Amino acid sequence: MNRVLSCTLALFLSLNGSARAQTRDKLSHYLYEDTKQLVALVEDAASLIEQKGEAALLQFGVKNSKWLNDQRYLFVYDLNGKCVFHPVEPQLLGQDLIGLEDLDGRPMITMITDVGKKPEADASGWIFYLWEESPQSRVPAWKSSYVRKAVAPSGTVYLVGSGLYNMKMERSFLEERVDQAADLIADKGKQIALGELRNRASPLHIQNTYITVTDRQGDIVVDPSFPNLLKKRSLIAFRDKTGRNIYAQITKGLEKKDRMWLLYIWPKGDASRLARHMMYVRKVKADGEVFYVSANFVPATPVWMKQ
Amino acid sequence: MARKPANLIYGVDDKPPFWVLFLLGLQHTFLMSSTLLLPVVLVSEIGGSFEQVRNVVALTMIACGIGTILQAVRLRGFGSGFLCPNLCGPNFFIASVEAAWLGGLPLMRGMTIVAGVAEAFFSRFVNRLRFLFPAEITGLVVLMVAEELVPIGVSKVLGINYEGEPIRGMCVLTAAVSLLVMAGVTIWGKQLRLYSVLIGMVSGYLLSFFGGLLPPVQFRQVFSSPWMALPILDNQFEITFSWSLVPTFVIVSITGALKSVGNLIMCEKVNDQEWKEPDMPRIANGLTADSVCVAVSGLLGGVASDTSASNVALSSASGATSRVIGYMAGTLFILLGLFPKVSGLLSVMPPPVMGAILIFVTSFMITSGIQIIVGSGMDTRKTFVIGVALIFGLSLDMLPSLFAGVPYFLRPLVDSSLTLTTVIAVVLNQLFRLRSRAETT
Repeated sequence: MNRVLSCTLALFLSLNGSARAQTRDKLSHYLYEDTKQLVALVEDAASLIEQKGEAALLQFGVKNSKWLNDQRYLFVYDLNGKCVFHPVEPQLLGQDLIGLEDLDGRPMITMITDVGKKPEADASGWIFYLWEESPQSRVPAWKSSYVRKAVAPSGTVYLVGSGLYNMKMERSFLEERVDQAADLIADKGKQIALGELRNRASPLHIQNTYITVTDRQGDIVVDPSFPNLLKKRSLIAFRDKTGRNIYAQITKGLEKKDRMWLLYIWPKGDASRLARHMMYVRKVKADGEVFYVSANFVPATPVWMKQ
Repeated sequence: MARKPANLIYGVDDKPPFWVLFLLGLQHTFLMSSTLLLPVVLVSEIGGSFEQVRNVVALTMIACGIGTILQAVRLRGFGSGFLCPNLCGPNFFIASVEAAWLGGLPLMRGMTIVAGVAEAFFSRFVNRLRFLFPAEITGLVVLMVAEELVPIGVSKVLGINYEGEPIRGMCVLTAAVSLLVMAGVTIWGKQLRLYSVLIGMVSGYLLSFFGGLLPPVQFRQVFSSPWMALPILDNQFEITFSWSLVPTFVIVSITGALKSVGNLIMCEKVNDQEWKEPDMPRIANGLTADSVCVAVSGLLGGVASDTSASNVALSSASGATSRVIGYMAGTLFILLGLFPKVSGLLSVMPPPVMGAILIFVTSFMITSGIQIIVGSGMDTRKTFVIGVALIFGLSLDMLPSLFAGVPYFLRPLVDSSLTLTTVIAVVLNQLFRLRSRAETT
């Protein structure tokens, strides 16, 4: 019977094609369908550049195609931050935009070109910044973009990407940012790293999620709500609505490992309903001290579930 | 004495041949599986492992199986004697999640037992509350039970799980084909209509399989499960209670009981061509069986169960309402709970197939509700009772933000459109009767 099941699975996999199966495995890191579709679109676009080179850009500009429609458009930059393709803001074409910053001062284009500096030929990454939702609105909104490095047959390296506004937070987004913040503290030391993390423009603060750093004594040394508060607030006494001491859970959970996911219950919005908050925490040592780097978010609720 | 309608192939007291019985029972178990994603979501919400998910799903299946059998028996004071299977109850879901958040599975278990006890009390009084539920209001309850299935049904058909996600063409195609097959077999299938959902499901699974809607990762999890296992959790016998959650669970329990009243009325109507009004003692017995099933869910460690409106609608659509099917479906569901590979496969039912089934059965429930309302003989008083209650009930689903400012103590009233509609209808019905009562006296 097991053989029959294995054969069925093998048949299923072969029918679906190994390449598609690989893409599907890659997409399995994400929970939400819109995230998966965005990643699949950019991956397809990168493949097209890798096959056809600059000719692919012509296809990206065809209106009402899978590349350009009411919901999606692609952008392409070179390694120096020059805009190579942008169907919505054609005035950006050919401009060196490396110095472009968003409302908070995030270096958006530098964040894109940083993906190109990674050694892998098919490197990719997520960037988060404020960008106007439409040229007519002139009002910035949070945009999450997936960027992929693509090497054309000519050898030119392009960075192709596409984004979504006010996207739902994936767990992997948070893990990546908290890990980067922890590495920053370990590499640059307490003084410099904590200063950078207190900066509102840090690319590590994404959407409405902020990096928090707590020291061994439970004092919040990077406090997103009050970055300049002289007397630090303490996390030691914080208990969630179930009465669990969050700081005690963190210290206990990170006794023998350096990263953990934690769930706590706290009201959301109008405070009439409890919500599940997911917190990712990393333990890091710098300058002889131990720090707990964390960020949290409220996961989306399925549409069919009453709030 | 109930008169068996001509469109029924197997009436409530008929005994189908074994293999027909087996297939019909199996068909009901597939439908009962349609809400098994709820324990999956619930255990995932509290960070449970795949093993815990599997065990809670299995325990929920066993409890539902027991409930289905208990409902089909007809003893003195216990069981309605109808084919009215139990499934994991969507109306208990939010309250169960809250309990699981606050105190893990032991608290969810304890509060589920409290809900069962509350329903048992309610069942003893429901006979005396008969005057509150004339035919038009019971029809309204049936209609609103169906309405509560609309969001999950439509979202699964479109392949949308979270706000902002795009419509998935393959999901729509699979759901459309499955639904058309089910409807076609029901309309033109003669004897085949007994298995309309089963046939629709098979076509839906095949399309999902070839259309890539069954991710390999899910298959791997299912195949890595053992063939047979007793579902046992680490803290299997740990049960805790919380006074703060009692009001929520009592309200949810009464809402569930109201829904069961609607389901049992639908059973009566399907089985009696000359049905005129609810047989309240029989319904009370059905509620007692249901309350035992809810308490058993809590004792075992599964998620609270509830009578299934969609299964009642399926029995009506297929023309097979024999309560012996209930024994078969209940037994199969218990057995399937002991086979993790099979229960795993059921809990990964492709969303469009699930959506198509829900839309199929909801169609029957909606028309049943309307038939009961219209059949009660509408007059001006009933028009306002039904109309006003329906308007405010639907507004809760259409514009939930309007009710965000409702004081905390009134929250349970606006937790569900079914509760709000029922309460408004009952109150208005009594209010509009004051004059006629005064004239009589």
